[in-house]
Amino acid sequence: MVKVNEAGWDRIARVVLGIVMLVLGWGGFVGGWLGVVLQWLGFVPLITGLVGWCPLYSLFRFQTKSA
Amino acid sequence: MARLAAQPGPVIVEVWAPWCGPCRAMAPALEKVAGEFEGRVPLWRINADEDAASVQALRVMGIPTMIVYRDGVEVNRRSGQASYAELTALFAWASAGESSTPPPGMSGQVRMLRLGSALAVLLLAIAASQPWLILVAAIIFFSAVHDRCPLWQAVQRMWRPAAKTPATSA
Repeated sequence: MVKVNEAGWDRIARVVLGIVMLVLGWGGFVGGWLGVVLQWLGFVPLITGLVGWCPLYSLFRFQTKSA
Repeated sequence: MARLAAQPGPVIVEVWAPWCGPCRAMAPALEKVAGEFEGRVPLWRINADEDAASVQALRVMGIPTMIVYRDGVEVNRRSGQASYAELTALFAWASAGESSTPPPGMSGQVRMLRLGSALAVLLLAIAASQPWLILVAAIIFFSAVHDRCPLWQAVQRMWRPAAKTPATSA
């Protein structure tokens, strides 16, 4: 079980951002290389938001979740 | 219900039935944990067959269901079979009194976040004609409900023998 290091607002923001990126990429709203980037990078905030754990936060010993 | 409202401190109410397989499977662990917390967290057991009125009043939709009350107010509820470790965590949380720590298990907010994400990804899969995104949506949906899935709980118990119910003495 991963240790959650994201606050609720952080998780919601990540999920929303991830879905927006995926919609822009896969929905064809953004084309070219940027569209491809959005298509795959969109999964990063989505998954980290759903799981509640950010590897970058862990790396820098940072968290938005209150102790 | 009147007894519940008047009961000070923590109380855990379990709704069960004799024909319920998960209830029977959980019973030894529940009795052991209830014994360990005797005097601190009372366990009230309601037989759904004998007291349908209480089951309806408690708005219980499935069994087994464990409801945690503090000073007559419901503070947590979980349905489905639970392991010895999960029951211990629930009783420990109930006995801790007023605290800022969240109850054990997935919160409603996280569950809704995952369900909403699964729906959004599913709609995207349909709109963008990307069938593989349906699999992604299914995985996200499962992550939202896995703790309520009896099949998943059975698989977990096979993987984690240490979390199994300790053998009761003869």
